[in-house]
Amino acid sequence: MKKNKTFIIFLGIIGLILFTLIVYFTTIRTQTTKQISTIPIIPAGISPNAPGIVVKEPVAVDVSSLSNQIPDTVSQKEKSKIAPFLPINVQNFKTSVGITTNFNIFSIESEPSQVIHAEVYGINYYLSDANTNNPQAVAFVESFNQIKKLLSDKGVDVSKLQILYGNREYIQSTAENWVKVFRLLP
Amino acid sequence: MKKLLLAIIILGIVAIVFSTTAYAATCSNSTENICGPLGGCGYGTRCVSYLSGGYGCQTDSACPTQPVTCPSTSVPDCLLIKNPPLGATVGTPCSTAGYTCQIQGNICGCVLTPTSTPTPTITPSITPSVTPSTTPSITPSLTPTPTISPVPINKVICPNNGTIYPPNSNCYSEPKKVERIAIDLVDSNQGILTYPISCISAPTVTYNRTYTGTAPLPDTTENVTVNTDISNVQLGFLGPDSTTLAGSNPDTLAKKYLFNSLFDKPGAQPNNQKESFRTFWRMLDSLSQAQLKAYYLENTKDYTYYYVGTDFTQHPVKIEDIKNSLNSATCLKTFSDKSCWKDDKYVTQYQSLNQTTKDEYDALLPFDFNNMRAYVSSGSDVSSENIPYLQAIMSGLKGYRNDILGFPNVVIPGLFDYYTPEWARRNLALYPTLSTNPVLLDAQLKLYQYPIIKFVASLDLGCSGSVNNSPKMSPKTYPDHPITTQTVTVPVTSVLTGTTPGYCMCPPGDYYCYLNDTCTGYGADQTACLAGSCSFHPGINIYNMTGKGVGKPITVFNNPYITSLTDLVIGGKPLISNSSTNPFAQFIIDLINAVSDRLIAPVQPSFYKMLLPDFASNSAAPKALVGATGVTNTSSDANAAVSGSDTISRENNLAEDSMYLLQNCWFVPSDQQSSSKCSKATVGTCDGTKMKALLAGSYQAPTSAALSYFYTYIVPKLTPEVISAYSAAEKATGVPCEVFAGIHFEEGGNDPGRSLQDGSPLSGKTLEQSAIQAGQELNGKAGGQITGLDNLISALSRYNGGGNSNCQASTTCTAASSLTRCGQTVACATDTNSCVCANPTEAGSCHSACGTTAFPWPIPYSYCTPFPKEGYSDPYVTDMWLSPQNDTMYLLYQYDCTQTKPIPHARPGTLTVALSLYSLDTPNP
Repeated sequence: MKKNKTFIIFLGIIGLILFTLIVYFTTIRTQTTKQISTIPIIPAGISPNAPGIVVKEPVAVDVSSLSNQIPDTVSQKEKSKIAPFLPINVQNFKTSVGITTNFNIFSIESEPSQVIHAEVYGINYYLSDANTNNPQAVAFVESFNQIKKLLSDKGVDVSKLQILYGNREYIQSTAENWVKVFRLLP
Repeated sequence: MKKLLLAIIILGIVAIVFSTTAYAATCSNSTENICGPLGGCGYGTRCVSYLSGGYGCQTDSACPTQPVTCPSTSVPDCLLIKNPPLGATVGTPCSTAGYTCQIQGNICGCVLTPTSTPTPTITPSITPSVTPSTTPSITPSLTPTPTISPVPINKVICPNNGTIYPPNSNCYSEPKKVERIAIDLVDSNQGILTYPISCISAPTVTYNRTYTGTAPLPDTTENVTVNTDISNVQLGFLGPDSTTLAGSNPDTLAKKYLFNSLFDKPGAQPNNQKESFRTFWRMLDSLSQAQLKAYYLENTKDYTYYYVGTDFTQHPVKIEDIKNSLNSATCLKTFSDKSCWKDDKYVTQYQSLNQTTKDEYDALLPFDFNNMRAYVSSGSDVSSENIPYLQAIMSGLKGYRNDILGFPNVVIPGLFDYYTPEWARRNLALYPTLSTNPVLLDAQLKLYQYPIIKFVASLDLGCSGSVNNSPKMSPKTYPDHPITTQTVTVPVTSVLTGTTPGYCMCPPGDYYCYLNDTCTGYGADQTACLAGSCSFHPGINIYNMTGKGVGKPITVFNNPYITSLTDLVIGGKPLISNSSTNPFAQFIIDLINAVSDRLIAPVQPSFYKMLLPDFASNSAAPKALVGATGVTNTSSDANAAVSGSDTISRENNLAEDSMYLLQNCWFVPSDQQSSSKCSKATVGTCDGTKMKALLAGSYQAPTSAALSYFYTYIVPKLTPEVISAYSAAEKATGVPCEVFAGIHFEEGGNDPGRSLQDGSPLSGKTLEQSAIQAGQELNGKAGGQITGLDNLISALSRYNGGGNSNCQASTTCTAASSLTRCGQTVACATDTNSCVCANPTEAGSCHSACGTTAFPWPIPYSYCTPFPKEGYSDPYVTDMWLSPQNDTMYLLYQYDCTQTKPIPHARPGTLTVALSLYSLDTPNP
């Protein structure tokens, strides 16, 4: 009888140890799961890609900032010389660095009437180095000179225009920097 | 006892050891010979002891390899469980029973796993009442669901007598039963004859002939023979033809065709979605389904059907073979054995089937796919058409019943009978039928049927009713005697358009006559020359004979069960619909209606009556005839041009259109409705017109992964508010409405408070203004107006900048190999805030070392040969569009001017979203 009692107690202790271990490891797993549940699910909105990957989305150009460089009236007057000919599209412009560009010159009703777009495509504006070792910059310079020629032929002084080089802020800043560094405008 | 004690202790120790080693960090003596992480090693390796001492991990093919885990962009169920931070292991059960996480393109989704239950139906807990409810139903949504690929099918065209009826099966030739044409005493709500009448509109003949002759031509008439050929006419609705079946995913089919919306059911392929089980399979419990299949198997011979198995290929099943396979499972093929339907005996038998037989049995659609009959007649001859799908739909909804004179009068209930209280149940109208014996049938047709048809057709009842001009691709009806001939009398007017005067000519060789102009005068009647030797050449008149005549319309006798079908969807009307304020008069009306309801024209219970409030019947689709294509009018008269409609009008699409509204509008909360047909008149829609014109036949459907993403994450955001703004922008700019949905998804998550320019708050601008500006910008980038798909893709890429295009020069730059960012400042390597477009580039930065000529890491995108057109490799535009080239595309610049190690973009591009929306609501994209 005593033997049986001891056995039962011993068995109980073993059972308790096993139970404790099971609870312990189960808890660890539960905690792990909880950590996962805090991971954001696919953001059905703005930020793409996997959780944990930050993407800085390009922002749009602040068109009003163009007025700080050239007065609206001056640009308006200059733009009026070319307005009847818009839009202008040039396809397959070969540059000396092997990059083929296209460019469109146009304006849209939703923007201030003195603003004109002169956009060069085929260039990666993320590669913004302003030196002649950067083929993107060189391709832009050559394309922009062609745009200048096109506009000059119509009697337009490009330096008096409020120009948008793209609808992304980084394109605008990169292009403006190239124009400035390479002295494309007087 | 001691031994038992010892065993328990050992077991306990072992349990502790194993529990501990499960989380061992390193391979050691305690984990020797254990595979994978449990042994402190990687997957595919085993912890072993070295002869030289110590322990290490060694590759061992017997050790399991690393389980495939879901990408962290998968659906929630496959993210929230286990294995951080990569998502669930493929095969992990989802929260919905029977579903597991499976790779679908770039993400994991919950996919139905074949189970042992007969069919995943939802057994209703409460039998719906016939009494209309007071509010619109809030039944679980039938919103468009994650879409799967088209089901592979046999593209077999049946010889002479039809295409594939039923879907995925072999051909049927002639209808077994032919209803007798008579005055309609049963379903008389919409017609007088049992066969409701519509028509092929009358051909118009334009006569134009040039007549040359000496005598003036009086105005006259011309008889022109016109042949109307209906050998290629289609049914136009109810169910798809084999080509459509092979090219459309099940969700699209369910939205287009009544048969598919009610009865579709996937095969055994593992990617099946629960939503692929349509109304019938969701509403009937397993007992009812088993009974129907048993009855069907008991009464069907010489029939082959097909199903798609777990191997994604199609398998034929002969009805006799499945009967043999069900050899011991007698309950599953013998309806008449009533003992089968007690104590779940049929379930036990089903569960004992092997997997292949289960798959074959599950795929069986127990509906009568025999064709029904319709006629076309000009009054002088008769063509009989085969009408597919109609009998199948009727048998699914109302079950099987013997002919009106059948004995014993077996009635196997259909879907409606299970959901209708006994007292409200109405038998479907049964019309007297002609003989099923081919010889007798032919004789009876000639004796009874055709004379009546010819007589009614000769009455020239005309064509009336609006016609739906967007017929759906459907099987041909293969009429016999398909060419109908009629003579059109055209009044012709002659107009003199030219004349050549008569003249006299000297005889050949008579030089004297030539020299002296002897032949210069005519006689008084201008029919002969004065000089007798001269030959007279009379003058010639040229007349233009023109006229236009209109022939007779050709009468179409539609099968009467079309009317019954309409009643089953939206409900029939009582014989006398008017009410009276006079109590006695109203009593008489009610009495007549009651008698009519029981004896003459039963008012069927219907989906609308069961599920919607009374006023909802007013919202049923407007009645319009179906304009099915395939009619050709010709004439052998070279002077006559025949024009006429190329469609045959059929009665009617009310059932199909109303079911569409029920499933896609009434059952879907308003903020999740994606169909333009649900919208109020004031709300704009993306109707696909502009997109269709722009694509000009070059539409290619997005991948199933894209559609899955679209339905799951984007459709709920496409509220009437945002769609209305996109629609207004389409009107203002000409850019297709769907494109705005794509741009707004990319920029602002289709959030009505965020702009399409860059997702920033609208700040005083309206969403419509933002969309219009986006459309104008897009047009500008396209060179004025978007002219085609290539032009649209390049413009969309330009809209986002285009720098992430996956096809660009790349290299392995040593300075970047250990980094994840290659920016223009040194600090960018450790601080994302320092990733800016600095100029000049800092000396010592990764960018300074790697230069600007090539992306500093290899881009693992392998579809750049031949070099794609502008925008096609831009993930912001085409990601997830086509497989395989858009399955996995990479983001290369996470920050401005900062190259980052390529990571999967893993969400649809702007074009992909636009095309997904376009496919959602466009019948034939």
